[in-house]
Amino acid sequence: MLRILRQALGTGIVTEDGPAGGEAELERLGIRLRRHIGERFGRSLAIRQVDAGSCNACELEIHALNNPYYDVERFGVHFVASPRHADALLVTGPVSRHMETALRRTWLATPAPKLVIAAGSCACTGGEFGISYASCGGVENVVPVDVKIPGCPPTPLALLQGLLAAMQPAEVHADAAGPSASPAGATDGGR
Amino acid sequence: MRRALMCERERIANHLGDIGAICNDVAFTFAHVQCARLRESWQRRSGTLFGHRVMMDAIIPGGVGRDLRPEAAAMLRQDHAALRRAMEPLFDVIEDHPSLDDRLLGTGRLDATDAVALGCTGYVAKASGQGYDVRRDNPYPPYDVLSVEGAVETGGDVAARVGVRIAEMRGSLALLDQLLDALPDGAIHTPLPAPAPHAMGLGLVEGWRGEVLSFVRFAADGRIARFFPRDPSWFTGPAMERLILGNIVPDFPGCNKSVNGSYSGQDR
Repeated sequence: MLRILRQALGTGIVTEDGPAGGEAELERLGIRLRRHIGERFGRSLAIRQVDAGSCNACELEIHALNNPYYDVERFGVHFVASPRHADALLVTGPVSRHMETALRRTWLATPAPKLVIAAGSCACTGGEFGISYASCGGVENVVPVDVKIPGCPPTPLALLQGLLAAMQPAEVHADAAGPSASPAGATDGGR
Repeated sequence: MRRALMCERERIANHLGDIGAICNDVAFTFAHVQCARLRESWQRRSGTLFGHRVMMDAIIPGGVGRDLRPEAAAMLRQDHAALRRAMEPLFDVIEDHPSLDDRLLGTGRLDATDAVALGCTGYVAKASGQGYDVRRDNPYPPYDVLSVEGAVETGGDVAARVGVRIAEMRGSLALLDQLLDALPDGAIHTPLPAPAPHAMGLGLVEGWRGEVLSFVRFAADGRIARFFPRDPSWFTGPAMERLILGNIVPDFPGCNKSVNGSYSGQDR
């Protein structure tokens, strides 16, 4: 116990400040937002990560978000073990044909309103794998995508930036977000 | 030499992540957070000096993607010393902690005959008494001129697979310093000759999970006709089915993480 305390106290706090926000920074990282429905989630986002056929490099960097340098939970982002507990799906990889049905069913199992975030170049566009006998290409070929975070793999900082952007309340995009968000909202409101 | 430098860095990064994650799976989050911290600073250095945090496009056919800056060797040497200092007190705790012993010792046992019969390599085989290591037993440059200390344990359980990783991290750190001492100057890349029609090639290396095999066959026009990479997970996947038998469900995550098979390698 003393060894653990000594190590923990000796290490101190290594957590760094969050990334700077703003449209320019998003543009620099190539992050594309289709809609802002952040206020629906009350500044907290429960994410189910779906590996739809990635090489796992994206997973390594997504894992890094939980390390003490980035500590993503302080921003209200946490990872959950089932799509039924999730506000958002964070999907990586070109969607392999083997994972196509699984991804569609995961999307159906996620309660509305929901976000789909494509993480990594493969998820955004199909990447170097494209469409083939084994691959459906990008995630949007299978389920609708709201946020795209490119990179091979995206750095933890780019991922953090994209997630925080997805959680921003609707501002200039409020009008655009209305129609696309309303069917989901209607389902939710009917409960 | 530069390729080996990257491969040993990768081995250390992934073993660090795994050791922490196995501890996390039995609710010992202290080790997980500490290992994740060390891994992150290690990966940041890889990003700065080798151009990519997970070394993508750093090793290319014919050589390496880019050379190290002149001051890199000194920075890396400092890193190695710093990691050695930081990891040993952690390993002291991990190797001697009652709640970890309770969950890891005797859990997920793979006996030596199964490890051999299934063709396992890497830390899974090494933890079950099979010390085969491509770097030492079928050496390729630069390991043919280095002394690779193999890691081997006989417990065959999750604790043994943690022990092998710890030993391999110590071994890789020693290799990294040897590699820096012997780092040659000169070209970092040789242009590849055009392949003969229907030429075939086979490569075998000791990746961080174990023996990685790559096969390539060219078509008549010099284009690649077939490429097949074989990850050690092809063999440790079936071993996973064997080693979880008789274990309680809450021990599954630790068993799984101690094997850490690649899903992208063969599962989808």
